[in-house]
Amino acid sequence: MTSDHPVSQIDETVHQRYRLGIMAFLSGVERADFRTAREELGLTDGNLNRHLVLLADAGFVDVTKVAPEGKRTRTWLSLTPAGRAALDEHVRALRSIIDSVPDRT
Amino acid sequence: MNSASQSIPAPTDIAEATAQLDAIAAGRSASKRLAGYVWFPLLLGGIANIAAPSVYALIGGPAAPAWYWSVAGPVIGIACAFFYNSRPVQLPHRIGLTVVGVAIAMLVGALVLGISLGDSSGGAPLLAVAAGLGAFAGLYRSVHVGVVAASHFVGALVMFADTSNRTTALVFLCVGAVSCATALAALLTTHHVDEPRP
Repeated sequence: MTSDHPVSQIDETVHQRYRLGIMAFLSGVERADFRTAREELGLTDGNLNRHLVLLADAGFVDVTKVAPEGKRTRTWLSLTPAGRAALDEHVRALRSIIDSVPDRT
Repeated sequence: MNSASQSIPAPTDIAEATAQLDAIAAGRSASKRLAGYVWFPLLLGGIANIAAPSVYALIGGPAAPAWYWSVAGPVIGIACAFFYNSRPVQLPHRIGLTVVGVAIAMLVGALVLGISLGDSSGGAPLLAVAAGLGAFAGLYRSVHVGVVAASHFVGALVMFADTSNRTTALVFLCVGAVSCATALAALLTTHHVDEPRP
């Protein structure tokens, strides 16, 4: 496999299926509540947290805890501009892979 | 299994790449669907329409519709803003700002047409509302809002054909009933995200 093969453009942080699911889910909205994302993605608290730490460390996801006075703390998740760019790049790489396969018909 | 560290082969074949693209599209549309609740504004709009003929009669005079909608419109808008701001999944701000812009244009357009044309306005204000709802249907990609926009359009045509008070009242009742029924259908068919439990 040569280094210019589309697969070389795949970012392993984004590629992992749960992290890709988190990023895809967040890409459609401004922000989402932690519990809603967890339920929609079918993950446990620990699993989602672990993936969020990796995505936040990569600068792809922003995790903000908001604690209104007298109310329970709410954790909001949002995709950063770098996260959106990484997801777009991943989509482009996937499309390149599809386009690179010769048409066998 | 530690899913965070599990190794997944790179998508070197077309099937996996296609599956990932499909998963990304599904994830995006799932969150948009969760954020785009339309039942609440449809229900408020429907109730406002059903109440309109009675309130017109209560206020009395040719300016009654203008008075009513200049109060009801902003009240519905503020209630919707609070509703959407409380949701656990929120649409991008640019869509929210566009919705606010369309809502203001729709309300101002309907009021200006109603006030300037007076008794001869016919279905013109309702036509402005139908156009605004059509824009909302596109923004939210919602069939439910599209149905309500179509009902407003038909109502406007009926009011152009017959400008009597009786017909106007009947149109508002019908349009309101369609809005409420569609809101109920939207509520029942949309996967509802509960507020996070303490």
